[in-house]
Amino acid sequence: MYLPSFQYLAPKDTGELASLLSDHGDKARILSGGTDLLVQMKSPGLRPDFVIDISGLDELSGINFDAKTGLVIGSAAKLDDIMEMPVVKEKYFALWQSIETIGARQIRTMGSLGGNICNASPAADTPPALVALSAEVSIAGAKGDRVMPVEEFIRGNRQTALKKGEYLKSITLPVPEKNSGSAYHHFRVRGGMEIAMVAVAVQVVLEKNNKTIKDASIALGVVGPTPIRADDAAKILVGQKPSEDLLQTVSQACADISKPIDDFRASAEYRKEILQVLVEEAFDEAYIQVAGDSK
Amino acid sequence: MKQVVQLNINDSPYEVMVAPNETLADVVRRKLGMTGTKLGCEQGDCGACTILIDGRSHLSCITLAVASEGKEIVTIEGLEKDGKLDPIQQAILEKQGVQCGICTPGVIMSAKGLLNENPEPSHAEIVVGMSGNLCRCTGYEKIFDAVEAVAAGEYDDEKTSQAGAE
Ligand SMILES: Cc1cc2nc3c(=O)[nH]c(=O)nc-3n(C[C@H](O)[C@H](O)[C@H](O)COP(=O)(O)OP(=O)(O)OC[C@H]3O[C@@H](n4cnc5c(N)ncnc54)[C@H](O)[C@@H]3O)c2cc1C
Ligand code: FES
Ligand code: FES
Repeated sequence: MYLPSFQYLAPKDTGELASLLSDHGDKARILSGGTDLLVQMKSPGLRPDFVIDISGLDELSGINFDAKTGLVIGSAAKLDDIMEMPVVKEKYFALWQSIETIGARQIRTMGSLGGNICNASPAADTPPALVALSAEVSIAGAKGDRVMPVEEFIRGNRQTALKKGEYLKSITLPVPEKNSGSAYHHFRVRGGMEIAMVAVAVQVVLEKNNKTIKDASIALGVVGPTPIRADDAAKILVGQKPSEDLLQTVSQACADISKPIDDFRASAEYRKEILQVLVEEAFDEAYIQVAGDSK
Repeated sequence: MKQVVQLNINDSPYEVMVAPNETLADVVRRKLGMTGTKLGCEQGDCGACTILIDGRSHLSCITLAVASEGKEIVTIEGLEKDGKLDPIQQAILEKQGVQCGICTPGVIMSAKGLLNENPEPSHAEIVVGMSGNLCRCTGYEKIFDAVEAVAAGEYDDEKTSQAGAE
């Protein structure tokens, strides 16, 4: 299985990257880990004239946590390196879980977070977690930087907000409020090496010293072309103490706004059922992280 | 447009003319004659092409040779030292983790990478850590046994002789 021909370009810094992108525009593709790009180029369809390798750019590979500004992850940072940062498991558990589930060890060693987002597959694992954790992306280009939430960046199946000449610079996750927890739950028929059928990420914040929910966010994955931020459903939780009835109402609200597909792997109806179970499971796990025990 | 690329493979320098669209697997196998690295799916799914780059397991079927300059590459051919097999090679043989052999070089390189990252993996960590390597013959258990044995130091001559010397 051969790759089509292309010209390989390895910019030395982001300045050169920006000028290569503005020179070559739509004829160029960024190569980070290559675990999506090179696989796609091996099958008919994707034929870029230029492949611009960003994997050697230190400027795009950093992972830094600051107690005020939060976690800033360079777009080319490797999935494995992100998982290994203790702060990720401690404060951004949903992201940690979403990375842990990706591919196999080789894929996490090679693949980057930026690649997972920019590839914009409806089944990608990290976007729902990033959305629930209110992550924002920084986009860079010749005309300067722009910042937007992940849910706005991913526009559709394999579509992002990147304009000609732009690239994804970094992903920023704000510092979670005190007393918060998060979780990512997904459903696959087999254990590994397979894409998710439904995925849910939840973040909850509890009031100090009591188990009332102060704030919550829910993101639904694979049940539409892009991750869905279920704000109306999450609002139902605010000011409440968890109960079975409450969670049923919330998970029903999530199912109502989901738009899963019907395909050979599962019917839309089945996906909605599973979605509701995942909402409750992910909520429970996030809640227990803070409250210490179930409902 | 071909270019000369300097590759460091198994501690030896190689100068190779490669086109940008050549994968590291193809260069190693076809240009350098090191056919120990196998190709199965050629799209990242099976792990047969696993090699080490800077000590970590990579899939050479989706790695560009031009992007591998300046990195330390180890293939299955680089494990044997002075006629002596690497502990993981010996373990795979003795624990009968080989049948047809097509997956074996990838399995071994993947196990090397796993043990580099986590020298004492639990059984569960071995199962998950080796999940990128498909084997249609062995049923995996014997492969896991071999990795477990190496992790437990069963094949670590140096350790045994050092312990004996103390
Ligand atoms: C066997 C296998 C199993 C997999 N399993 C999973 C899984 O379980 N879950 C999952 O979510 N994914 C999975 N993937 C998909 C893939 O590994 C991930 O999406 C990975 O994070 C992609 O990162 P990369 O660095 O390899 O991206 P690349 O392939 O290098 O790039 C992906 C796309 O993003 C663009 N891009 C990359 N970086 C930038 C940037 N900074 N700015 C602009 N554009 C950019 C590229 O041009 C390309 O279009 C799997 C892939 C394989 C081969
Ligand atoms: S040949 Fe590379 S993963 Fe199958
Ligand atoms: S020994 Fe035959 S595929 Fe593994």
